[in-house]
Amino acid sequence: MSETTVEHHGHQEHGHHDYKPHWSDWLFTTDAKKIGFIYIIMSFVYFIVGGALAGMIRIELATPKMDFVDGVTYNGLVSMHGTIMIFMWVMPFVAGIINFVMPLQIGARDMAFPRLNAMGLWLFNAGALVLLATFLLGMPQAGWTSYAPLSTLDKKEIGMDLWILGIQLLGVSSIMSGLNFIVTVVKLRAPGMTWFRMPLFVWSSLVVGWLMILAMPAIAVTLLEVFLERHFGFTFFGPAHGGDPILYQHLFWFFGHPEVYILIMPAFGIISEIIPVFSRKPVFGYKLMAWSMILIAFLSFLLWAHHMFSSGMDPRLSLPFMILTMIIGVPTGVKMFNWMATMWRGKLYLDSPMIFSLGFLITFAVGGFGGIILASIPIDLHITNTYFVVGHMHYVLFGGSVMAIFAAIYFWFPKMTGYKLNEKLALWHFGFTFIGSNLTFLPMHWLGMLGMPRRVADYDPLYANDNLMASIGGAIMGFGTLFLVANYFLTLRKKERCAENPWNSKGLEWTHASSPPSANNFDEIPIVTTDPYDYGVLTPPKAAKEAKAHG
Amino acid sequence: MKHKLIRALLALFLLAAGFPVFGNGFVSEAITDYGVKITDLSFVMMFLCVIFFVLVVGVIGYCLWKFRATGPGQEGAKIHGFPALEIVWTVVPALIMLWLGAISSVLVIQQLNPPAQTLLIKVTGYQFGFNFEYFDSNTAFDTNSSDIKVEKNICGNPAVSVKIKSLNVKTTDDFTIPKGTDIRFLTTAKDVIHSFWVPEFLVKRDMVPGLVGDFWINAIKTGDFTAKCAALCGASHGVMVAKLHVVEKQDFETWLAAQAAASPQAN
Repeated sequence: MSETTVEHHGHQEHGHHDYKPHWSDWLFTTDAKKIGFIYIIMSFVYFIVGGALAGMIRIELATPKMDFVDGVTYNGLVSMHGTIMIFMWVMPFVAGIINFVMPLQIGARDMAFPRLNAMGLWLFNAGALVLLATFLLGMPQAGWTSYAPLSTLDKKEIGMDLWILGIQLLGVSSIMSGLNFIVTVVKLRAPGMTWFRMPLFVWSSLVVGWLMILAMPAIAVTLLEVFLERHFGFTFFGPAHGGDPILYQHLFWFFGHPEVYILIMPAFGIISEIIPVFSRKPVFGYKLMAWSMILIAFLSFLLWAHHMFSSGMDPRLSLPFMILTMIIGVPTGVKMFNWMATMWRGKLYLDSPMIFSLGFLITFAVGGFGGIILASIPIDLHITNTYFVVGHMHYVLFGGSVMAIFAAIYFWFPKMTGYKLNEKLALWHFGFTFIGSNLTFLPMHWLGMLGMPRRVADYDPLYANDNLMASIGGAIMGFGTLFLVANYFLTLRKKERCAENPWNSKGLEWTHASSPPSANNFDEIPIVTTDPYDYGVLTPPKAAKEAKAHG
Repeated sequence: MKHKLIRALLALFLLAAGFPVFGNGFVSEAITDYGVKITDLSFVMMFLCVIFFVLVVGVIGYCLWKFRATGPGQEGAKIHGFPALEIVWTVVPALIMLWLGAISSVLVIQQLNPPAQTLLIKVTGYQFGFNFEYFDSNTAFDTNSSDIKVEKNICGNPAVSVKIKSLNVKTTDDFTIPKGTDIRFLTTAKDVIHSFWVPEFLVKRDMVPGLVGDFWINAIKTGDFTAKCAALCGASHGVMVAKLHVVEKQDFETWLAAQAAASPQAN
């Protein structure tokens, strides 16, 4: 936003001090930026841990026989890989990036409830430690879904109890974060920032806040019931005493489906921030982009049972769930089309955040297609619980969420640290990640269609080639991640200050806050007088036509 | 057949794109008439996906070719949107989705309405294997027999009021079915949730303790196949399999008679 569109008011203290940071600054901080930073660093560490587990799974699956680990270890690896990637990588990263960026984007000095925010952070750290303890005391065996009665029968299995405790802590942390996001967006926007002047990342933060506070209580109740059934003689799910195993699935997926939108919604926000900056054009159909996120979030609560078509739920009930599942593809498709239309007639700058965003568009599209194929009940009855689901879900969560997370890292790294990550290393990172992930996850679709169930350590030699391909892809992806890690260390060691606004963005966090931002975010709270994404030049129709005739 | 054309186009595209395919095809080879319909439906959907994928990649590629910035400081056109276009790409996909929903529903409804007279096979999963028990739904039944209770529990299916009679044939991890006969599987489990899946049927049903699920098929090919457990059920989940033999009707009758004679309940 230029000088003419934004005015300043108020006289706040400068946040800059010549002050040496102390470790307790980080331990007791209530500053959203520091909290966000800790979330991001911790989640990245867990991403590496979860990736190592994936590597072990792919080594086991490189050959048909069970020859690397035993069945118990394998189920533990599968359970912990899913748990860590969802609850300890994508969710905390999302919490971190929202904490850092969202207050800056709405012109606020901090989150609405800074101390609640800090408590959420340390509950997350506590929960993560509990989950990591399962590596020493025995890994949970029932997958990240922990279906009853598999999760309730073996009462001596300590890993399951630790898993329940860990997820409960992370869940409470997420509820606190969600509440904070909502109140911050509703109450702390700078003067002039009306609802439809909010950047789309802020919209995604608001929507994800609602998803968190509405979905997480469902998993809290479910896991409490599992715990009571395991140790206190209650019966909710065990059929031997009149419980219903299907009840568990309804409860779990009432949480579980909005959960996947918790993971992807911020990615929508991130991509919507990045594409306009590097296309030098306003985001196409801003209002539709905001409404489609709200609609997707609303619908996400109405299609949980599409995970249960084969379960024995009343088959007549499944038809509306199928139709709704297909319908949710419509607002998602609208977002895809609008992103592409944003690039149309823009001026594309292919810096690393944009490269990753383009990668996101392609891989997320494949993930969406897989979702629509899975939504069709007759096809789902063939491919549910197979490698098709694994392929689809990784296209959405890796090709979607994680690709967007990488884009966000490259985009906001200069904002967080004042240094710009090396572009060359970023390109290597992208190349290995994009090729590796497609090589890993695309053959999984054929594997599932051809009859390979998921969560097996031992499979028919018929599937050997595609599995080997997937394992090679996994190794390529893992190697690519080293470029990102190396990039962090090299960039932070070099300490080469970059421009305050290296991408020439017009977002409030770039135009009105320094990089890195001062403790108070802004010297003066900005007043917003224009729409976001104020890029581009007006071309009179005639001039445009002439330009077209010449070009 | 139009699906052959679709398959050929799809295969061509995938080969052209260099996707890793090793001659196994994309979908299990169907051995039931229902399975063939599922295969066709999945090819229709994959074909649609390929079209949209080409569209996405094409548009992105075109933008990269046509709208690259040539130097620093350039700005794109100030276009905020184009409502007519946005309506098109909302309504057209919505119509496609409803159409896909409709053609899928037809197959769901077919599965919901099994023929009244079928060979009935009750499959019970346990850690880590399958038990099979054969029934005949053609004969009169005793209303007080335990078989009926199983039937009454079939989850939510309104069309269930068949008469069944045990054929005194039980097998473990190995089962035989006749070609060209309507066969209905009832699925349940003893301990945890399992899932009964013969990939060549192109349909599976979970085996849930305390509940009975069902589906029906009619095999059109003979041969030996494998049934697998498709729901994580414990340490040996990956090796929970059963052998399936699809045989001609008369061979099946012979097999059934031999099994019944060997059964302890026959005396």
